[in-house]
Amino acid sequence: MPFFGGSLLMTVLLIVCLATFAALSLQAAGADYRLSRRYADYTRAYYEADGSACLVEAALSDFAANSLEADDAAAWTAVAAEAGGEDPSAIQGAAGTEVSFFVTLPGEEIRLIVRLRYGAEADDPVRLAWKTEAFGEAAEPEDTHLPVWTGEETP
Amino acid sequence: MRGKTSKSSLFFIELCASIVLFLVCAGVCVGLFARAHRLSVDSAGLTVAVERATAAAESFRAARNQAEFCAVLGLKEQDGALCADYDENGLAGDGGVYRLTVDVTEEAGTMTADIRVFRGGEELYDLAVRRPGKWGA
Repeated sequence: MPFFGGSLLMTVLLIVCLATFAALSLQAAGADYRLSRRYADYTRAYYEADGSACLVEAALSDFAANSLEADDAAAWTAVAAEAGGEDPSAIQGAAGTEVSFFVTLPGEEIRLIVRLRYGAEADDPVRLAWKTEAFGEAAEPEDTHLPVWTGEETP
Repeated sequence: MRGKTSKSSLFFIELCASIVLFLVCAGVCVGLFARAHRLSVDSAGLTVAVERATAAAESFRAARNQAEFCAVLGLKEQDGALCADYDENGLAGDGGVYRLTVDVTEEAGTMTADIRVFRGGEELYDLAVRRPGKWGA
């Protein structure tokens, strides 16, 4: 005599199906939520870095408008560094002074690269670059190299 | 006759056991489904909130003055703060599900917007955005 009959077998089968779908839906919803959270955190980090870059830009604009040392590249670099710009550099040329620096996004292996040009007359800087760039492990592309025959070795 | 009764009672016991087992497991599974639904709603809400906050941030950076900023986002002044309501699809309209509030301040040659998105009074997301210079008239 079997321990259980057809109805119990059907119930167990039903429960297994139900549990599988429940686990799958929970797993999918969890993955969706983690992705949303990641997007939200990245957005906050980006605007935080962007805000820091704006502060550096404001400091440089103030320096360009009010300082007598505007023809000294080292002074531009010092202002950018003091305002929070990382690895700042300044180059002076005929078109004006080009200042470069970057701000690292908090908690990310990404930095916001900024390049500004201050002309002799213009009050506002020209934004030559205001872009994000990955560094560290995030910058290393996956190995998707497909070896193709270059014609060097003939069979 | 006695064997038939015994068989019926065994079947009845099995049926009862099946129902109890099913109810217990269904209860657990309904809990899991409810949790998945909650996560899904939270995830959709967070995504809409981030999208609305990002749109507000970019409008804030691009606007030439406050009137232009308010016109682009449909913001209205309410209790000293700029507010706008959005429905589930992120479309502006009174009495929407999502509420966007923006508080603009000026400091050190820059302007800062404190952007917050609420749903049913609960804050979903906040973003601080800065732009150089000041708005024109």
